[in-house]
Amino acid sequence: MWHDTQHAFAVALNDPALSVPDVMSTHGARLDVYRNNIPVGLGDVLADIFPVVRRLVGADFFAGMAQVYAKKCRPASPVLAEYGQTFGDFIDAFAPSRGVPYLADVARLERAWLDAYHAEDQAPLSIAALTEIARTDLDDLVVILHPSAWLLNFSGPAVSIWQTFSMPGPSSPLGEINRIRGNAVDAYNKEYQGAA
Amino acid sequence: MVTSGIKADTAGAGFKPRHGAEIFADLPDVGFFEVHAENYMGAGGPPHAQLERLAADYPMSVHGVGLSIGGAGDLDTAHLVRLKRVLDRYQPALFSEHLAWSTHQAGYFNDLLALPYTTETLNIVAAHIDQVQSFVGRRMALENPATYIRFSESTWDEVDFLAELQRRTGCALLLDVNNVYVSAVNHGRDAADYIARFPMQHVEEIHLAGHAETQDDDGKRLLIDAHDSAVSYPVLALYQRIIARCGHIPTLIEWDNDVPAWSVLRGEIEKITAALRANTDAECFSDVA
Repeated sequence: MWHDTQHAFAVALNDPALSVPDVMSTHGARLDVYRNNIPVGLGDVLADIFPVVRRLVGADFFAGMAQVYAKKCRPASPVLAEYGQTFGDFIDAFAPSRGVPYLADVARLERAWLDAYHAEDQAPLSIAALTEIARTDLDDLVVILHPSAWLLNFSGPAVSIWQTFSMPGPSSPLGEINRIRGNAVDAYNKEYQGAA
Repeated sequence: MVTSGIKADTAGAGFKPRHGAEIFADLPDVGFFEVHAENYMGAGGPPHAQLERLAADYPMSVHGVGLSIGGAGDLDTAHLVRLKRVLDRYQPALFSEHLAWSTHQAGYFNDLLALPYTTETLNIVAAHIDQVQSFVGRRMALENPATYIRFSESTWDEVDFLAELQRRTGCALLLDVNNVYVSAVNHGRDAADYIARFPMQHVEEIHLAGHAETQDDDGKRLLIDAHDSAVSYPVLALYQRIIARCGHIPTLIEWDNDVPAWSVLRGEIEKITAALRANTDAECFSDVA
């Protein structure tokens, strides 16, 4: 039955330590083509979605982290632009990156950026349209966010770090990040704590 | 002859967003562009704005990579809905998918995985093709796969399997010549024989691509369908043999990894277009309207 053979194939793909299923008249190296294509492909997808996270930790660290994530969390659908919705939460719990506390928030920001990029096109509400609303109706007004608008709440300087490192340029050493981080924390404190 | 809006004596390429600005700047003489359906399943934004602009100037081909037609389970209806939305939006001249599987209860495998060729799988795939064609309301072309493994339970030859699927479902076929060569080398078969037996009258489109080469555990040549380089000489030789025998069939160059500059890809398209147009005596008669 193809159902059973396919299941054996899928299990063997998920666990490279398993030998080639009996139903295949083939060598391990042949099965390894698929076993290699799948994580490498997902690593490339994650690198495309999270370029700033990758720049912050470096290509090698990112590739290793992406492999752990890809093994744990397969794409839910063939629409790979939607992959990595839980990458931020995964980074939060990923022990080797604990020294970079803002990394998970940068991942969440990059994920939201891509969701905004692919969001439905709609004309935003203009200021002129707002001024036409009668003052007496304002209390009943419900604001609906534009499909590309997302509200994110960060406890650290993820936005400043993302802004700085989404510019093209050479990969940045951690010392540079720490300098910006200090500035960004200041900006954050002035902006938000000052307003509160 | 015109094949579903694409002139048969033209070549095209997989569209890469990074090439958009150069293409729009001088609208080069390219027969058609192909996109992966899954890359345009978002609701809106710059990708659709760019593709709508491209589709205004060029015939389009939509190539699905995620339907998992060869899987044992039911097709994912949510994915069929997404696919239909892309097809309805762009009304492409061609629509194709693969004889492969990628979805399983364990999740989506981002690859085109092989299946055994048995009477059981033939029935499953035929039912899936019927479902796809009736759901999206158009004919699809089914592509021959590049494979690395074989199944002991297979009882059908791949060409016979594809020909029978075509006969049962009325689908068209997409002949990927690189896949033919990759699979033939990997399984010690004769690519020229495969081509000679292929039901060319149902071929709506040809794919060409580059492949990578390595070795398996026995030191035998193992080719990988990498789409990361120019079309190799043996694949071009097979292609020349096809067009010498069958004449004009729209031909696409797939170059998806290590994507070159537009000028390089354009040069490859021109090379294939010239080869197509040099062959005008056709023995095969396409049934493609």
